[in-house]
Amino acid sequence: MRREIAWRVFADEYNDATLEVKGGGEKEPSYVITPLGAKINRVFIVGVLTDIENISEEGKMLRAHVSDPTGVFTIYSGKYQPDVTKKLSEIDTPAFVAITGKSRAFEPEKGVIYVSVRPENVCEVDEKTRNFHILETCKHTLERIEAMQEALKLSQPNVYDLQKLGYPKELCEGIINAIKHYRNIDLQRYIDLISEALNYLIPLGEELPVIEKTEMIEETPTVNEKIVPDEIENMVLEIIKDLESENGVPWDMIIEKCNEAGINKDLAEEALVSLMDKGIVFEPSLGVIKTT
Amino acid sequence: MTSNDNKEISSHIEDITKALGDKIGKEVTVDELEKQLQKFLEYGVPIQQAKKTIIRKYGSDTSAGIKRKLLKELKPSESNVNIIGRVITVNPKEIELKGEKKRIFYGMIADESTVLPFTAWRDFNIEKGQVIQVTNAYTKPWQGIPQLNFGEYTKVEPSKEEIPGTQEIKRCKVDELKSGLGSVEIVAKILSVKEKEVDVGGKKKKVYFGIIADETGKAQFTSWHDFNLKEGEVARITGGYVKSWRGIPQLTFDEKCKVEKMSSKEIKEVNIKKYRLWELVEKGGALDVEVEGNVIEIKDGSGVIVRCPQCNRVLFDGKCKIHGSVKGIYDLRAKIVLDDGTGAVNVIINRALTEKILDKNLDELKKLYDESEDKVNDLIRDTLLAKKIKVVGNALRNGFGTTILARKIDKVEIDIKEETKRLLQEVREVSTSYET
Ligand SMILES: [Zn+2]
Repeated sequence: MRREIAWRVFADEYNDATLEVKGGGEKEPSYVITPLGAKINRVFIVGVLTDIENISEEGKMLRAHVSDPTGVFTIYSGKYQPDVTKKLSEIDTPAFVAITGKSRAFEPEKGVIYVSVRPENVCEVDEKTRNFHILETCKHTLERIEAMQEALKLSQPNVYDLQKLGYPKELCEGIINAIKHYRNIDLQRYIDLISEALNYLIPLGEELPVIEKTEMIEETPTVNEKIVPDEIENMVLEIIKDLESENGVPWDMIIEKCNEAGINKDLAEEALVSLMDKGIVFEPSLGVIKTT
Repeated sequence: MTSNDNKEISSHIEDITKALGDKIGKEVTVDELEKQLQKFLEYGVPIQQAKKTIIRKYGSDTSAGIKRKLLKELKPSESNVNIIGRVITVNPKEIELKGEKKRIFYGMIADESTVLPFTAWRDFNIEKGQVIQVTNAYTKPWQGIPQLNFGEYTKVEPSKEEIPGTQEIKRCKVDELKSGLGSVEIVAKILSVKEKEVDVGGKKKKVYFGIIADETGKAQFTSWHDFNLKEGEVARITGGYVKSWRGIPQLTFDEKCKVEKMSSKEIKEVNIKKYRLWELVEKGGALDVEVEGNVIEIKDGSGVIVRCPQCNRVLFDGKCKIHGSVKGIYDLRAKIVLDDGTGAVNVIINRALTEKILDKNLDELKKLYDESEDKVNDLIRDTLLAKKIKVVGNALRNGFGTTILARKIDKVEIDIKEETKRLLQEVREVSTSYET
C-alpha cells in the first residue's frame, strides 16, 4: 500500500544504472537501482525539454529528451498515458519542464540496460524552479554518497545497521543492492558530478535577484479546520447515535454504515476526526467511538 | 547510543550462539537465529531484549516444550496461542450473551514486542500489573490488529518471568511516543484538557483528555483519573502507556500512574515538529506536524465541486444519486500528493486555504467552473504542480497511507545563490574526507 517515492536523481547517475530489481507478482513494483543506491520506481525530474519526436505512425508514442547539467533523460510516453502524451506534444521546445514518472529498464542483451522514464505528470515550470531542483538533487545525491560511504565502512554492509545511522529505509535497501551489484563504485565521480551541477548555477546565480524568504499564506482562524462540511459530520454523528450501545460502537461499523449512506471512507474518517476534535465523540477504548 | 547499539548483527549472533551452546544446529540454525534477530530489530525491540528473548526461547526447557510467541508475531486469526505478558489494564464489562447476563474482562497486555488488546470471556482473576502465562488462547481481527481472546479452553496462570521493557520506566519526549510503548515517563505541558463521563462496565466514570506537548511535538492524552490537570500546567506523568488512533499517538494513564506538577519553566517552548516525509510515513501520523516537499500530483476530486443541498453528496452532471436534479451548493478543495524524495503523503487543502493559494474566492472560481470544469483544475495545476511547499497540519494514517489535513501552507523559496555556495562548501568537505 505504500506509495512509491519520487526520487531526485541526476540524469548521469540514472543512466549509469545497470541493475533492475523486478517485482515478483504482477502488482509488485520493479526498481532501477543506481550505483549510489537510489531504488527507483518513480522519479521527479526538472530540466530542459529539448526535443520531442513521434516514433509510431499514428503519433501515439512519443520519445522526448530532458536535459539537466549532467546528462539527458529519455522519456517515452504512449497511448496508455493519453493525457500526458497530449500535454507533452503541445509543449514548444526548448522549455523548462517538471516530470513525475515511472522508471523503465530495457535489456536488449544480458548486462546491457537502457533506462528511460514513462511520465505520469508533466508541466512547464520557470527557470527558478529548475534551479531550485538542481540544488535539491545535489542534496539528495550527497546524502546517497554519504550513506554509501557509511555502508562501505561496515564489515558486512546490511540494511539494519545502515538504517540505525538515520537513513531512510528505501535508501538503505537500495544501497545494499547497489553494493552487491556494482563493483568498485567510483564515489569521487559522483562528488565531481555534484560540483559540476553547482558550478552550472554560479553564473546564473550572479544574475538572480535575491528572493524574499517565504510568502506566508495562513488561514483565518474563523474557518479553522472546517474541512468537512457540517452536514456530513451531522450525518456521521446520527449514524453513531443510531448504532451505539452504552459502550459505544466499533470504528469499522461506523465506516460501513457511512458507506451505505453514501459517505465514502475518506469523508467519514475526516468527519470522525473532526467530531473528536470538537469533543462531540470520543474513544473510550481502542477502536470504539462513543458520543459524549 | 551505547556501544552495544553500534555492534553489528554478526557479533550479536555470536553472543547468542555461545549462550545456546549445543542447541545450535539441533533446535535452531544460525541462519534462523539471524532471521529472528533481524525481525525483532525491525519491530524495534532493543537489541539486548531481543537477545535475551531468543536465548530464553531456545535455551530453557521449561513450559514443557510449548513455544511461546511474541505478541507482535501474532496474526489476526490464530488459535492455540501461547504468550507471556504483563497486564497493563483490565476492566470488567457486563454483556448480554444469548439472553444471559455475563461478566467479561477486557484490557491491554504487553510483552517486549508490543501491546495488544485482550478479552477474557470468564473471570481468570487477572490483575493489573501482573505477568501472566497464557496457554491456548486465540486471536480475532480487530481494527486490523489481532485481539487476544481467553476462552473456555484457555489457561491463564501467574508467571514469575521478567518481561523486559514492560516494567522499567522509559523517559521519553513527545515525538518518541509510539503505539505499544508501556511504562513511559514524560514531562509535558498540558495544552488543553476536557472531561467526559463514560460508561465502564455499567458504571459512570469520568475521563479527562486533551493535548500534551513539549519542544519536540504534540500528542493526545487520556486520563482515567482526575489529576486536576489544568491548561498551561507542566506535569511529569509516570507509568502511562501509548496507543494510537489513526496513527496519532495517545498517552493513556490512570490512578495507578504518578502525576507530579512541575514548574512551568520545565517546558520552555512548545514546537511544531518538522518531519522528513519518510519519518512521518514510518510513524503513521502525528498531531501538528510541519513537512516540506514538492507537489507531484493533483488528485481527482480537486477543484470546484457541487454538493447536494440535502445530503451533501457530490453531484454528477447536476444530479444527486438519491435526490436527482437539485440546485447544488458549491464547494472547493485540493487533494495533492506531496513528495520530498524520501517519502510521500496525501494533503487535503480545504476551501479557505485553496482560495488563498489560488488568490481567488469561490465566487470567482465558480464562474470559471461554469465556463469549463477544467479551467479551475488547470489553475490548481498551474499554481501548485511541481512547486515546493511547506505544510502544517495533523497527519492521520488510513488505508491509503498518511494524509495531512492542511492548516497552513507556505510556498518554499530559497536564495539560490547562497544555497549554491553553501552546498559547494559542503561538497568540498565530503570530497576531502573521501580522499583521506
Ligand atoms: Zn442528495
